[in-house]
Amino acid sequence: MSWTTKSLVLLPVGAVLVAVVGWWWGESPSVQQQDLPTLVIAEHRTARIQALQQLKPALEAELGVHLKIVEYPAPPQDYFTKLVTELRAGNAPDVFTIPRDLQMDDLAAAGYLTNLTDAVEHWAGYQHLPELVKQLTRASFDEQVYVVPSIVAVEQLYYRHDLLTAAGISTAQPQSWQDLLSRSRQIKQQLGQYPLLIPAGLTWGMGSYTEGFRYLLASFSDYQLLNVDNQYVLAGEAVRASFGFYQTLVQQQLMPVKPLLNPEPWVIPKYEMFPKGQLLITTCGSWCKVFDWGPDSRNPIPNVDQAVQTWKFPSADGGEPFALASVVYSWGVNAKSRQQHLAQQLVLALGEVDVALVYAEKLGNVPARLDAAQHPGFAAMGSRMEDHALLSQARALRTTVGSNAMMAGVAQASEAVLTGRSDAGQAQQQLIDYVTNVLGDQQVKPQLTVAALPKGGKQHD
Amino acid sequence: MIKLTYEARRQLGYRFMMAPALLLMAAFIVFPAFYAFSLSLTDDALLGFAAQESSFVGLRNFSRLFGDPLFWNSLKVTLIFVIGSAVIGQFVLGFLSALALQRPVRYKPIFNAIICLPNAVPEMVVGFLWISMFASGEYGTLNRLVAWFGVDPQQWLYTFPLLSIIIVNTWRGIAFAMILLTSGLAAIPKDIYEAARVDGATDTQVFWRITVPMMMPTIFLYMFISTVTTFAIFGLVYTLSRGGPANSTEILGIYIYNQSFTAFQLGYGAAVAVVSLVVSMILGIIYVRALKVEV
Repeated sequence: MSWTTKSLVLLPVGAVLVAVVGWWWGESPSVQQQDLPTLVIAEHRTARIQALQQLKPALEAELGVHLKIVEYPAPPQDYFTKLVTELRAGNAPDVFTIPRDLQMDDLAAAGYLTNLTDAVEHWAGYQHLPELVKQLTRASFDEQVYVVPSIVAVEQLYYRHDLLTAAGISTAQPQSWQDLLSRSRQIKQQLGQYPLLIPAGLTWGMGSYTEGFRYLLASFSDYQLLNVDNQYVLAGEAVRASFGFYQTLVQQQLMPVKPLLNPEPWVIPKYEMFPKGQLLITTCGSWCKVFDWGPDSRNPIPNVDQAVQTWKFPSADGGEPFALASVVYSWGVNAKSRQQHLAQQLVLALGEVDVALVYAEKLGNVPARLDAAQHPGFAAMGSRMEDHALLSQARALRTTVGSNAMMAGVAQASEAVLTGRSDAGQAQQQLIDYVTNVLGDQQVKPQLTVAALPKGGKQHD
Repeated sequence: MIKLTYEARRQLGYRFMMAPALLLMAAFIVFPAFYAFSLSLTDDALLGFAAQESSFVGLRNFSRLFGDPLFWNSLKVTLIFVIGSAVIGQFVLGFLSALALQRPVRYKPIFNAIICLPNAVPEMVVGFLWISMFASGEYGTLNRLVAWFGVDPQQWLYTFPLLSIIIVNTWRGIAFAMILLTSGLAAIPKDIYEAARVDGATDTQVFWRITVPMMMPTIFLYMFISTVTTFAIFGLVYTLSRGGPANSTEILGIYIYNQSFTAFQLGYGAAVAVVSLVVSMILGIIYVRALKVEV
């Protein structure tokens, strides 16, 4: 073989060897890491992954583990679907987040989550959680704790203070639904723009309940979504009046309906119309001034803290206006994790205030713990410090197993109102039928059916 | 020891050679179909107590299904989608392309390549590509095109949702129709055409009296394949519209996905899948039996 031929053979072989060795060198964990157990964490959305990457070295040092972060699809519904299918298949990560508190019961009932009651009750952070947050971390069917909360969304009405003030429209807190509706009509008349958005419809998915219908239901001071037997209470006046509120918004063209029927219904109203001032009031949470319209978001509103301000949600029955609270992205441990003890240590570490503040800075929202207010980094939260102060008075509607079906039912029924296929009474019946069909008669409170009530939903003048 | 005849040994050899294919079909087609049917008789779910322990519910999922207006809507949308894109759109344009390319055309390979290109692009990529085409606002490609004619920007996927997905699927499927129909055209003996010309037949007469009748087996074979495959489409429509707005593009594939992986009701989703399979089989049998096409 000539030297030319040899070179032709040896050069590529050498290159491949160098590449393989380089790859092995780069990929293989350091000698120190090889001895450490590895915990796999599922995380999604760039901002959340950045936050976790930032926290990773300190967590690894504190717990003596190697953390492997696995990136999941970004939209919450896609993330949740992937997570659930992996949990069912038995190959899910050791630790993961649960987007909304009302998804916890279904996961726990399916046997996917480790019971963390002992660990959490012996955890120093537990005593600093507000009572509402403690409640929302317990499953309704056995009162056991299955997640460690880190951040909480405080949800209210967000409005364009700058534009309303410039137009001479009152920015005082609306006290009742009627107040809110008359303010909306005034906005429409004076500014010619859509005044109000309360999410609804099929494509908004669970958000039709969590970011929309839930506000309306919670407006009734005495209403609880569950009765003492943990059955869904869907047949009462509160549910019908809530659909009636949507019906009024649609019929009086106070809400943009078309965009809500799009595949990504939040994009046009929240990311385009609200920043442009074509929509003046929307339901939103403490993430909005950072993630949706903050200076580093894709749709920044200049001087957002002053331009956008909040109202509590007005009551439907003469009660006090209120803010809603949801435990979002709480940490759970895979019941099939082979490293239970370490995984539990990790989720408790992720429940610390330092961690919550990093997430709050990147995504908005507020730390779940009340002692966060004493942390030196708390002042950096700006206007969200006020949201945090609302935690102890905020309201929430507890759900139970089957919340997914209830939310899907709300999405379907509210879409029927949006498109004019159903009035409020028919939408309520549709919701009851759907939830009963999916969950069975036992999980829906047997009550006077809507057919027995006067036809149609109550209209709001 | 049993002594086999030459014919028996030959038959055994054939069966032996078919065994791997049959085993794969049993594992990946027949077994999942039976499993889906058994699942459809339970309340199995991905969430809640039923995920741990599902129960036999008999035909409850099916009775719920037949009373579910969203299922009927989905079936209707699927039929319109199949007829619009596979039976009419792809077939007509594919046939025209096949006929056009039978004639001597300059740069024929380039035209062939242009027509075949959409079929080479993965389904999801096609979806994203057309999202950009249909994007609302003044920067959407289609909106830029219509702006030259003074038309205001449209929300295409909202205003014409079903038509939009029919157009995209037609665009993607023309190549397959063209290739199959070209092979059918090539199989028609040329002397029949020559005899017709000698007898003074016009182009129209030749087309309707010779080409179309001689092409019927190929046409119905194409119809059979395209109907069944279009019935099973998911990724393209999911990427484009996710079944919206207001369920107007919720074809059966998306409805099944939504029930199984958004509502997490595996039993009910499986019931819809079983009904979808049955509808698909009925359509296939109609094509194969009623039109006496050998496939």
